[in-house]
Amino acid sequence: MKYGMIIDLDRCIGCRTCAVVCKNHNAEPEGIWWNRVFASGAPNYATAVAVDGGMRSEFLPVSCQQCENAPCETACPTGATYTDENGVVLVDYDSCIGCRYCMVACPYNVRQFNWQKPQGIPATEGTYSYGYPFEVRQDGKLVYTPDRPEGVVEKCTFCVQYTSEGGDPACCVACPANARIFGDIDDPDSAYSQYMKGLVSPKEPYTLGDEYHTDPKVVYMRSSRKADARVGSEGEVTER
Amino acid sequence: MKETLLGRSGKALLACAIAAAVGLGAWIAMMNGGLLATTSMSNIFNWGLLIAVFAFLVGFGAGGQFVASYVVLGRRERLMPYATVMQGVAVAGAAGAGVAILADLGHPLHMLALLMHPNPASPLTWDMIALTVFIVVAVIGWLALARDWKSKRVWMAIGLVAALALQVVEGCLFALQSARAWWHSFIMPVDFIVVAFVCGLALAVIVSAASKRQDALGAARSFANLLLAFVILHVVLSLIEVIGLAFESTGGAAMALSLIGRYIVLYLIELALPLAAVLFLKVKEVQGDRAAHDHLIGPSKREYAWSSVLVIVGMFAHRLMLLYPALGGATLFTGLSNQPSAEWAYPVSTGFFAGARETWALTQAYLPSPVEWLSALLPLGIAGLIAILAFGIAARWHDRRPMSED
Amino acid sequence: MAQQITRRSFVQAASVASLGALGAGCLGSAALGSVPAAKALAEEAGSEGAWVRTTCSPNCTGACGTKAFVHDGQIKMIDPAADYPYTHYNPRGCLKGLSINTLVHGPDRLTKCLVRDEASGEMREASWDEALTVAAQKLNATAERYGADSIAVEWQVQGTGHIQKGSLIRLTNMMGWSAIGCYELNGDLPMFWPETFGCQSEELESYCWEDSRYTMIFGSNVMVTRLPDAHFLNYSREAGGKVVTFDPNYCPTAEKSDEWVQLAPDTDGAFALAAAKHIIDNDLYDREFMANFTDQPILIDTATGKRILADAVVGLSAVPAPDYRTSYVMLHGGTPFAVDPEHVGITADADLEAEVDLPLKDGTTAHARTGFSLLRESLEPYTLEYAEEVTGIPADTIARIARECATIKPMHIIFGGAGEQWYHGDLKGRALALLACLTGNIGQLGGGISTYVGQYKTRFNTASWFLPPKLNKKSCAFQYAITGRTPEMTAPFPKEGIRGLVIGWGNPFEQHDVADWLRQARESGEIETVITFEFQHTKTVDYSDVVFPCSSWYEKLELTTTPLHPWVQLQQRMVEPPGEAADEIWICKELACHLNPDLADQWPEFDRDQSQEVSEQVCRLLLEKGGPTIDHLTLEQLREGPGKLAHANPGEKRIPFWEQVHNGDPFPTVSRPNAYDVTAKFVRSGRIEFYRDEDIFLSLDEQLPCYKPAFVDTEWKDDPDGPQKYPFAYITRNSVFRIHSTYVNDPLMLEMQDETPKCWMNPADAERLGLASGDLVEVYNSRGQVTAALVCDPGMHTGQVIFDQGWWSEYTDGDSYNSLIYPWINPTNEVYYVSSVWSPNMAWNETACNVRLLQKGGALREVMS
Repeated sequence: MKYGMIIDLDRCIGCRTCAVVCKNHNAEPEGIWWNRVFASGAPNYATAVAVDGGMRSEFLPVSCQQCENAPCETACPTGATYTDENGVVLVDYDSCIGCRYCMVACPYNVRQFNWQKPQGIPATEGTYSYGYPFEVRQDGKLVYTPDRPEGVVEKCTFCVQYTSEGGDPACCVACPANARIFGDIDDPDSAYSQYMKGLVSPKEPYTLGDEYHTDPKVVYMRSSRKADARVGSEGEVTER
Repeated sequence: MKETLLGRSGKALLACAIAAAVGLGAWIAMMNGGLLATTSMSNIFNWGLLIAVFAFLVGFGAGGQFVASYVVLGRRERLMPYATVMQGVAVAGAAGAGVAILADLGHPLHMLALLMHPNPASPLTWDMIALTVFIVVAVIGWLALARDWKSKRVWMAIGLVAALALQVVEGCLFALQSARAWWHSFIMPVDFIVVAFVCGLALAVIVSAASKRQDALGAARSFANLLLAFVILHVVLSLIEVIGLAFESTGGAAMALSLIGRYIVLYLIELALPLAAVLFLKVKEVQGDRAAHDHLIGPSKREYAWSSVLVIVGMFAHRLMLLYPALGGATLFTGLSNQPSAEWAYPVSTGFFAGARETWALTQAYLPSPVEWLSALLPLGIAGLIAILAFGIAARWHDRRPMSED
Repeated sequence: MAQQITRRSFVQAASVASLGALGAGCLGSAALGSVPAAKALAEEAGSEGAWVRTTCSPNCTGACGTKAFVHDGQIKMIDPAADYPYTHYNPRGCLKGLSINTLVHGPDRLTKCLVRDEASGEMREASWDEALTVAAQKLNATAERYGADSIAVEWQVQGTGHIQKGSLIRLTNMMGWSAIGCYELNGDLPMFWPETFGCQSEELESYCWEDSRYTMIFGSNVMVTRLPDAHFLNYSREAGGKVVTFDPNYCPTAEKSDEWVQLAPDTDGAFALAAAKHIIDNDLYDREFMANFTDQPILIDTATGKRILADAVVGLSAVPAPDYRTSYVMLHGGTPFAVDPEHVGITADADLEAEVDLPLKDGTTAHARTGFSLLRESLEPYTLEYAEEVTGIPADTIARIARECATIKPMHIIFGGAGEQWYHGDLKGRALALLACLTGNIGQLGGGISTYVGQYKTRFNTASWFLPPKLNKKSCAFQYAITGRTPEMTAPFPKEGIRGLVIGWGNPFEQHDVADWLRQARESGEIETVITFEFQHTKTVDYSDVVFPCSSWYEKLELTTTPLHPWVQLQQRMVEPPGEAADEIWICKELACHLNPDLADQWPEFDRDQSQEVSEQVCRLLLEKGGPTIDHLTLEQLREGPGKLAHANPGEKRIPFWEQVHNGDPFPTVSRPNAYDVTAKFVRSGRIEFYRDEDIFLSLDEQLPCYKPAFVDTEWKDDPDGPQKYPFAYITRNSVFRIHSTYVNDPLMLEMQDETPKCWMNPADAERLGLASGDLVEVYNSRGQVTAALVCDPGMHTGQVIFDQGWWSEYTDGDSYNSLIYPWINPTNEVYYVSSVWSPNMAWNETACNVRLLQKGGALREVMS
């Protein structure tokens, strides 16, 4: 079994729900975002970029690409970063020495460091901590804990707390546009494979940062939007 | 002799010890206060001053060894007295570098994990091994020189190999990261060796210039001539890197170039300042030679020393410039999914928001915090301590030796 | 007097009272024995935690089924419930609702009653008894001084909750307080609907979008403001449909469309009229539809501009019909006949374009033309070239789109708040409705025109709970508080003005502080009493006399509906309300009893800890008495998941106006909660009316849809220098990070935005003013100002400053961003008054402003998310 995720950019509406549920479910401390959504070339919220005389604002969610050839895993001196049997790149918080070499190595800038002891948010009484409230260990390795140690690196785990129970990652569960599809790459009947075959909606897949030869297991579907869409073109809509 | 030695180096020792203690205090403050509150680092600029100091000191570690091995293996008898000193510098630099990298760890308590299950694929593991091996070899080499072992040439040869390996590994530590266009080049390990030579030789010039020996000026001149060559080599390699980047039409290269532009002053300090310093010495030498054919006059000891200090300042700038163009900006570049180009930097979650600063950014202007500057005194102080102790001990051993070489 | 009521005496009073359908006796111990399943589930889960279903329903129309993970008495995270039987609705939710746990348990949560201390003037914590007593005293005092109607009540959108919000409505309806129609206060009321279709509005539920093959979107940023439904537009595209977004700005919806048509702000009407003209001129229109279902064949007296009554014409007599209808005259082959206003779809052969001299019974002769003849004539100026000049859309693009929308079916128009909330927004809506009718898309699956602004819609009969037996029901239009009374007004307004405010689930001291009136009126003492129901510590809380801490929608039982989907859903208690927070049903009941012990018999008797059980009873009552759309559903069913509202047409999806187009029922449809006859008079012909012959329409030359530019009749009317002083339109759009002023303080939303309020301009406009991205600027006009970080957006049309609405003023240095806005009242909105159906409406966007630099680079950021 090998987990993969598809992000259909033609469907993505740029709402950032994936980023927020990711943070909420995974108890990501203040300042830490495993998942982020910006429009390529127009990083300011609600702006466009001029392309070929037209405008574009193509939303592109980016989280850990779960690389088959993960530079972060190669970089990690202690083996804290490792790939589990499902192909998911995880961090063992107990083994991370906080050298941040993995952050240097990751071309996607998805790795986040606990620069301070996570604070929780002020509540009516004391502090309130959101997120999955239990530790998750994989072969003894601490791959998730709501109580983050200071000085360690963290990142998307494909929601190991849910996927280890057969569920989908929170971002895929919550995407209101159904733009995120998760499943077993090896299983031809999985949601992932079905979507990849174009059985749901035929689209062209591609991966981010090919120049880094990372072989991601997060695959994007190209948007069908035309750059000159301001003008539009005729005769493409079939009457039914 | 003994009195003077202790008197002179006693003050230096005390200064280094105080520096190390202050650095230690700063480090403890960083660990207690949290890196967010005490440093200027972020998820963009996630390696800061301590890594620059690490690279800086490692240059002296390997550089010291290079000079010592060059002198001993090349049988440069005139320079032989400086070999032991430079071998001490090798030990000190490497040890200081080790301290720097340990001090930079976010969670040093987990260090056991590195010993229990090191990742053989990680250049950082190689680096830890290379550094440890080098420190051991350098200490033995220093003993061999200080105690004048018969096998000292063998140890100098082994030391040379260890130092070369260390610098290659250091270079690879950076060069293998394809995410960082500024580093991702085969020139990087070569330049690491070159820069180590520059550091070692510059210090050797200073040491010889500071020496009261009769031929000190001549020794300084010998080292300075070599220094000239390596500084020029470094400048040439650097220019090749920049030209290479300019021809690379990737977002990463564009980002690196733009960051070089932003830190152009620092880059000029790295390249122009050492070049000017060594050229100044060379010009002075040539002028001196012309003025008196039979009598070697040229730069004064003071000029040698100060010029070399400028070279070392340049090398410190170089270690900072190792970081700025590589870590000053995002490394993910995207384009429209249905168009080929991908050259727009993609924002990074800085981690700053918890410190009431921007949540997202494309670049970060990193200026080490005061605490970071103070923390740098820990590895620098320890390196200084070791170097001075090594010098003092070697001198004492030397004095007790029945037959002095000079 | 209220404070004399002891618990015992209250119970006695209540227990002897008749409670109508509910009855005090229905709450026997047997009924109280049923513990809410959700709560039990959460409690039984113990240390492992449990997922519990509820419904997220702030004022956003989403009504998204969610489930929350409860652990240790806290909500730890939230997921979409994703249990809708029509699976394309799964999942629903957004970044805000799915992180509301940070507000439920966050720092601004209200956990204690607050009462303004007489001595210090500061708010202090108080017991329930004190808070209720003080509130009752103050309200009674104000009512005695100025009349009960001087107490205005604002509750934000009842569709989001019929039981708890319904309690405040019930209370209001027994006190004679003036209910402010929040639909119009929020500017959500699309006046073209009652003007054209006679109803409050009708719309396709979002799953019908996937059935459309041509979708035109005007002034609606669906991808942001209808976020959980937005994917249905994608599905439409994937099914081969085309989505065209008309917007001055390249909004996310433009990105997710096949085509973006950039047009100058507030010129949608000019486009629509040119397109209509092109369709008519090229004979692309649905003649039969126009003749059958619209007023276009009806004869109009060209001398008076009035429709000719059948009874007035020699040889004709009116077809008998209820009082709210009128029998008019059409021609068939040149022969006049009286039109039956009770049936439509029977006049396919009526002459659509004709001119005739009709002898009248009074001996005169009327020169008459059909509405369509007049329409064709009135459209003459709207040439493609003219429209290009006004809108900036190339003439050939207008022609192409006109042809496409007339030929590709089903065609659906979404006309949103950004288009509607202008002084002449109704004219735009009427012009777009004309396109929907000319193309014959009304009454078809995936076709027609929709407005999705506000969760206003009452989807079943709520009288059983909203209307108490002792009914004393009043309403008013808030805008007159600021504008003063107008000669044309028909809406009621308290004689002594608004002197007290009771606020439920709203934040008017931010959101309705137009022209800064509300704050000033409060500070001057003009508004002497403010009582607030809230769960967050808002600015409105700071302006209140008494604040009641309320349960959030994870702490109470509530019944929700929305116009966007057909699902009736429950909010369920899964964690205890924190501190002293209580369900509104109990608060309202207690407040009623403190106000007037005689009202105890209007409420069930129960203690605070019985609120859940009583809420259940009310829920059952609402379902049972809710009429045919909902009475097939039971509380038990809804505990399991969403229940679907019934509709008249065959097939899965409700089709608006199906009964009219397929059964010949007359227009309008009913506008709940009003009785049919209250609104039926808006379209007396029983048809879709494009011709309005009320005097005010005639005098303004708005009897037919036309285009009128922004600001000319408002901001710049009395100020010749206006265009120079305030050259920009001030657009307060919705942000993806907020639902109005809810979620402003959500720590995750704040973090995403760097806690920085922003405004947007076209870079060319900014450059002309010497401004650039990252500058700290002040947006201002004669009424107010707001400070923001400037972001330049090349996708924006020039001539606008956009501010993302909702920011609490504590994040804008105390500035109220609504202080720039003025509640212009269009006299056509005053012809009738039915609260939330035909009423003065807030035209937020009809605001001119200018911008000045405060600090160069003062907010310098590379990324301002």
